[in-house]
Amino acid sequence: MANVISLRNVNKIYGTEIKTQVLYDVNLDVEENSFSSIIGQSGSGKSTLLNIIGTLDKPTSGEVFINGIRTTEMKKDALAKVRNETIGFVFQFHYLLPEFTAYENIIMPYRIKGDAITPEVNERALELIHLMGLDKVKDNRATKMSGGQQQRTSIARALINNPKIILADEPTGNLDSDTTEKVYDLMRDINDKFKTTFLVITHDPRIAQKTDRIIEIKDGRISLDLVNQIA
Amino acid sequence: MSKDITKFFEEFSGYLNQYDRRAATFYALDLLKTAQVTIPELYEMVLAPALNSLAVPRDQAEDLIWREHTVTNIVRGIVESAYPYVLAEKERFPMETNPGRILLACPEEEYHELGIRMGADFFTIAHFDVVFIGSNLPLSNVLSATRNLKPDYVGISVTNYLRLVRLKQITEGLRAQLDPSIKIIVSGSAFSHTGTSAADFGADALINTFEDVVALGRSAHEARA
Repeated sequence: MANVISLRNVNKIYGTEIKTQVLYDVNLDVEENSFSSIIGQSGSGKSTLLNIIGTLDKPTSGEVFINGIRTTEMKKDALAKVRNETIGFVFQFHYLLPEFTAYENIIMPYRIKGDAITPEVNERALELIHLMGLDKVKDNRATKMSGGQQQRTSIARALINNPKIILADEPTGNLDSDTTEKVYDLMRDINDKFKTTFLVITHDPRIAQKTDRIIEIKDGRISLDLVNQIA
Repeated sequence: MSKDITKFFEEFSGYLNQYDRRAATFYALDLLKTAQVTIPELYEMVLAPALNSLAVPRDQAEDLIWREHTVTNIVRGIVESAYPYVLAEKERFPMETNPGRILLACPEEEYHELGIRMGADFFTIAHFDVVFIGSNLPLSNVLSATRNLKPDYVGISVTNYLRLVRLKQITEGLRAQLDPSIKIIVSGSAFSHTGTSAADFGADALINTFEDVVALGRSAHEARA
C-alpha cells in the first residue's frame, strides 16, 4: 500500500522569546485505506501533530507529504486546495451551523466554495445521509438532532468531497458509549466502502483497541507504534 | 507410550464446541489421571489450540463474547481442577534448585488471564515459587506487590494489543521506582499479533511455552552456579 501521509523529522516549536517545543523529530508513514489511532496524554502533542498533518498548522522544521505532495513550502491557497480535495476533518464538537438542516450542513463545503450543487453532489449527500442513518432527520436543523446524529452529520460533511483521508480529533469524546460504538462502526464502514484512510485521536480505549494501528505520542515523540497484524 | 495428541485435541474440541462442560472436564482430567498427557501437553496441545480454534468471524461479532466466555470458563475450570497433577509433576520434574520467586499478572484493563494462569502452572512445575495475581492490575499495584513480595521475576501477560502501552508503563515504572535491573518477562498473543519483542517494551524476555519456562529456570540456576 502507498503512503498517503508521510512526515519526516517534523519539529514544532511555539513562541519566539519563550520557546516551547511540542514535537521532536517525528517520522511517520500512514498507508492508504488504513485505520489508525493516535493516543497520548493531554499536552503530549497529538493534536498539534494532527493539525500539521491536516495542513492547519506548519512544522517549524521537517517535511510533510500528503498524498505524495510536499506541503511544507506551499502557499496558502495551494495548501487550501490540497486540504479541501484530500482531507476531511471531524472534531469532538460537531461545529454544525445551527440555523441549517443536516442536509444543508453536509453540502456546506460546496456552498462556501460557491460551487453549484450539481445532481451528483446532491446524490452523494443523500447517499451519505442514508449511510449515516440520517434519513429521518435530514431536514431537521442541527439543534433538533441528538448528539450522535449531529456527529454523524459532521462525518457526512467531512466526506462530501470524497477525501482520501479523514483526520478525527476525539470524534466520540462527547458521546455516550452506545453512540460511540455506532459512530466507530460507521467510520469503519466508510473505511471499508470508500477506502478512506482514517487517523483518529482518541482517549477512548474501546476505540483505540479496535483500530489497526496504535500510535502513542509522549512528550512530543512517538513512543510506541503498534500495528495489529491480525486485524 | 505412543501418544495421539491430535486425537485428544479433536475429541476435546468436540465437547468444547458443544459447550459440554461435564464431558470436556472429565475427558481432560482423565487424560491426566491415566498419564496419557503431561500438564504442558494438555495445555499447549489440547486446551489452548481448542480454544483458539473456536474463533468467531468478525461478521458474527454478536456471538464472539458469549462463545469466548463460555469456552474459556470451561477450560478455566479444568485448569483449576488440574492443580494436584501440577504438584505431582513438579515432584517428578528435575530442577537443580528453586529458580526464584515469580509474580504473574496482567496490566490494568487486560482481562485475558487464562494464558498466564496456565503459565503459572508451568512455572510451578519448573520449581519457581509462583505468586499468581491475575488480570487487571494497575501500575501502582504492580509496584506495591513487587515491593512487598520481592520477586526475582515479574511476569506480565498481554493479549489485547492496546495494553502493550500499559506494559511499557509497567516496565518503566518498575525500573525507575524499584530496581533498574529487575527481571521482567512478558508473554501473550499481543506480541505475535504486533510483531514486537520483549525489548521493544523494556522487558528482558518473551516466554510463551513450557520449554521457555524451563530454559529460564535453568539459566537462573547457571547464573547462580
